[in-house]
Amino acid sequence: MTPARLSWSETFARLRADRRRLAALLDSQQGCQPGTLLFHPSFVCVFLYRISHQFFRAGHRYLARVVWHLNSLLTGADIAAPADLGEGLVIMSPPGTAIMGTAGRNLTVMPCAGLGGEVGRREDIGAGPGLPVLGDDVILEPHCGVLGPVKVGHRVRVPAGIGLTQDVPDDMLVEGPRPRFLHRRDVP
Amino acid sequence: MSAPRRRCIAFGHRALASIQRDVSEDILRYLNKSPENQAAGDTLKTRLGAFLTPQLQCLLLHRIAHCLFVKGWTRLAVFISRLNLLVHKVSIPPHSCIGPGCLLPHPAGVTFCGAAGRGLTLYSLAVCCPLEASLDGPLETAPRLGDRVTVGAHAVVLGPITVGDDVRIAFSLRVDRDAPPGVLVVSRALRVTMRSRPAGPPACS
Repeated sequence: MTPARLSWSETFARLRADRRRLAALLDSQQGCQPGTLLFHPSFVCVFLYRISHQFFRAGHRYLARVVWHLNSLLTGADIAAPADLGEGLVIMSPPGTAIMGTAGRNLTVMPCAGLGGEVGRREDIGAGPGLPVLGDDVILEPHCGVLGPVKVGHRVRVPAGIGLTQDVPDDMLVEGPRPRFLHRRDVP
Repeated sequence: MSAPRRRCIAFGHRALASIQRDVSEDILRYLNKSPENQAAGDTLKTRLGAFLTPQLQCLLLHRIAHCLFVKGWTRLAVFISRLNLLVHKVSIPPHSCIGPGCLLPHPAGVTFCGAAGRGLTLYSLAVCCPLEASLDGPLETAPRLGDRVTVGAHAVVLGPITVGDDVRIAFSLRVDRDAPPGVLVVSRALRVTMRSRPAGPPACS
């Protein structure tokens, strides 16, 4: 099945939204110069992913793969070209991020979070059934994973360190296993 | 650099021909990993396409480094391994021995120090290393994996343990004791509870 084509203006509109959101995020944290933002690794990996996705949707699969390869070598982010991520995508630290699936607007990916096929039932992490679908305003905290054919609703925050293998409705609070605090006897 | 020369007798990695054999088995594994890849067929074009992916390139670099290491060219082997770390962000020291037919779907962030049999699968950010901070220690302190082992994403295999054949290790797990052959190791990280959020602004940045 060939996916619907995506126009360049749509891609650039998405990129502008990505840049605006990243600028707002960096501004609130440390302040950012507009000139350096374009070379920020977070923006570079999103930019290369958008270009490769545009090529993929236009049917240029080899060009899409070349740009994906460049992204993988330059920034270390493995964002597959068929992944359909909405505007306002922010990837905090690209190295080690592996993303494949569908997401709505304003997805936030924190360091080392993953999105993709499930471990165990099938070895496939290619396109097709078996990939997660996320709603709008989803936050993936560090080292979490959304694995396999699950549907995650809008405004869900996936906590750090868990693997999500079940559907989550909108506006739900997801909780993983809690850490235990043991009182040490050898420390007064 | 002062690590003694070790002989790798498991897969004949001393011979240069072992690089070609192992990499061609890796390519076959890549071409058989999913129905989509199988549908593409096993032609020269698909083989070349698979060979040029980062997954296979980092394995090729590691296999060259390992062969050189076993031959005694330690400095060159370490250089190629560092190059691998720089380019593909995958940290496999040259003395770790990986059997033919390995699959690394997302190479960036993977660390492997130890010995593995045929058909190893390391998902994204999987780590196999000894308990020491340094990856240059002897292979006896590192994990030893059997054939067809799958290490899930974000999972960690730690210390001088033996993992049997056909073991599958699930997502986000720390394995520091021996695993018998054929088991599926599951983690508590997949046990998730849900409740509706209290009223207020959504927890978004």
